[in-house]
Amino acid sequence: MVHLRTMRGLSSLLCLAILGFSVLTEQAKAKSIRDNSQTVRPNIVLLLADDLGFTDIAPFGSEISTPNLSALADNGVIYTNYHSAANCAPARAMLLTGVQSHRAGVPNIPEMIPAAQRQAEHYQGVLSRNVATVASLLQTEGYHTYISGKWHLGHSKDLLPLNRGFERSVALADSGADNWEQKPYLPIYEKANWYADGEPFSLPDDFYSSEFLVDKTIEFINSNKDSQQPFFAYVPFQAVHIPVQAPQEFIDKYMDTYEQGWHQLRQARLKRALSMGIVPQTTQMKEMATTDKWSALHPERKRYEAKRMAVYAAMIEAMDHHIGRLIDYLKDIDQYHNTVFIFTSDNGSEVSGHPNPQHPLVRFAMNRQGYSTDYDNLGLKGSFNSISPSFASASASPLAYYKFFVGEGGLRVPLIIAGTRISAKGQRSNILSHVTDVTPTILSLSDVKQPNGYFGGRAVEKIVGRDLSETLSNPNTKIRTQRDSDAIGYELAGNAVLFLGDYKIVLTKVSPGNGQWQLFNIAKDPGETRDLSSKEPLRLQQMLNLYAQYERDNGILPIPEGFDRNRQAAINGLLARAKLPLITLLIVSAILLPFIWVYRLRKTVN
Amino acid sequence: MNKLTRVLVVVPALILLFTGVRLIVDPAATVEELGMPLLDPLARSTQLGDLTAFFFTASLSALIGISTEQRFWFYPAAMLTGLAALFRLLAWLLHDAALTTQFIVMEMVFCSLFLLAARQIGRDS
Repeated sequence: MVHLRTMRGLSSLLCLAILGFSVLTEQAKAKSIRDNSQTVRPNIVLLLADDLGFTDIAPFGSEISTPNLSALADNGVIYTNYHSAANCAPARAMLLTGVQSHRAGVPNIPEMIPAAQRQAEHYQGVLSRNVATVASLLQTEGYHTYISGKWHLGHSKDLLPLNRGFERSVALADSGADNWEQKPYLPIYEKANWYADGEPFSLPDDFYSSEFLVDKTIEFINSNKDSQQPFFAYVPFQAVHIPVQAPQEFIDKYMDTYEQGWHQLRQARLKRALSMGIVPQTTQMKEMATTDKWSALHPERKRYEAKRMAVYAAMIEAMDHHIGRLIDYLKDIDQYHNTVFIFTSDNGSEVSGHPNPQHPLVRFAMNRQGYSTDYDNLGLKGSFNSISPSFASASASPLAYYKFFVGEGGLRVPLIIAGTRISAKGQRSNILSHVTDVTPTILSLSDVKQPNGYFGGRAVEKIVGRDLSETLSNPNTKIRTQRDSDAIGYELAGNAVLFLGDYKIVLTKVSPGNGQWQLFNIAKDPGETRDLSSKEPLRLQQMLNLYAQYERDNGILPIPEGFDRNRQAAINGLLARAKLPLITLLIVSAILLPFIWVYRLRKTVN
Repeated sequence: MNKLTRVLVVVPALILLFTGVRLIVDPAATVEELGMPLLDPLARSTQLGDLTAFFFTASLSALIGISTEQRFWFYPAAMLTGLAALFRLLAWLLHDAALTTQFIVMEMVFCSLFLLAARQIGRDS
């Protein structure tokens, strides 16, 4: 009996010992991975969504399923007060250089810069040579550097990624393009301009943008997988820029999700964002003047609008799915633990979608471009889909405004920094952070020095962004204070903003803005519902003075009277397309003139 | 040369001239229309140099022929377009080139028109 009890006791002890040993082994293994990953320089994967709204992914309160981005959020820090630019190319210029957009030569997208401003050297809308990209800086320090996706910082050979620090590249030079085939999405382009390693490139027949871009990224990484050098992979997705397109299997999941309309969705996202702590409990929302009344829509229109949004959700989930494939691949080649992932968007949700794409005039215009807006194939090959300003407001919920505007909905977007070596796990950072902070953070994580005014034998702009790496262990470490030198200014086509501490002044010149400077406390009121300009005139004046200083320092030019961004894009596009035919015609006419003269002379003589 | 013949040869001369000018102004788009990619820099020199010379010589000689009504100016244009069609056929037969019927037909038509113009000027004089 005693013997039996002793045996039981011994076996229990043995079990405990085995359990203890395995726990210790696992802990040692995890510690070894962590220690190892701290000593070698990390790989960096920079994932950039296009026109993704503030609450469009699950970690920020979306109903859209993004399990891979949620997993990244659980494995790092999400930044809830992060601001980018209000449109594409300026955001990308700041993201890749840490320099303000005007000083980097990209105050606006080139398609929208009026002729009067184009006279100035820093108003060309392409990435100037006076800045060094993060890819160039990393490449010089031994990183492999890859880009697969939308570039939009210059078409000419010297401006393409190959000459801006990317060892391998497959890049779209335009502001956007079709997701299913090599086709321009706007008539201002003759074709979709894709380049691979600096040369014109034809897309494969089975192209779907998110899938292809991740495939190419994997191909690039795989080509150097035995190298001892770390890599920097920049993956600027086309999702969810117009045309909004997605595979049918993803669309099917959301066919019933948006039947209640945009008001309900905007409320639901606010509720979730509040419960998750993405926005403060004091957050209120205002209704944008551009939001239609859902209840006033005909049931057929409701059905159509719900599908537009379903395709939008599907495109986001498809992007997440392919991000998951990239993560799985990195796990397979044992590089996951040594990779830092950064996910963000270039600007807030897109607002250019027509309120009614089934209007005969819109259908006619789309047909001329080879697109259909029919309900049945919405989102599939050959269809042109977008969301209207009404659903764009829901996508930016609970913020006001959207892309092209400097309200929070245009500027505040998700940012996630994650990875095994990030010590803060599943935490939120509410500090004011900015798109110019990404480059200095990457450089800090990679142990690469910032350029001190010179790079590659030429003078370059100094980085103005702040290093966020401290916040990766202590998420709410303030990297900016109320000091004047910590103010962040920004301007886009006359719309202007300046951030200082918890406050923001904002000027929205065109409708639905009121053309007046307003002051908001965005730490308490991210929805920009309570204008404090009359209550706090001293603060307003102090910030206006700082904005005037920003304007001088960055060479902001006035916008011509009556400027309209869509009309300007049409004018610039037509001029760009007509330039070569006009030159050809002039040369041919000049050649023909002597022949006509000889012919007429002969006729007169005879 | 009667009016109809003049119009009939002015059209191919202008098409050839436009193609030649476009090759220099917008080479990427033009070579794509001709069924080829823009070659790497070394090959591009020959690709653009030789092709542009072909189109300019053909069109300019035809235009000189039209304006001076001297028949022999049409022969270089006819030879260039006719021989281009012939060697396209040989390239197809001997070297696995594609049979580009549309280009061959067009070049044969151009060649015939230039010869027709030369013949008519000869008859008139």
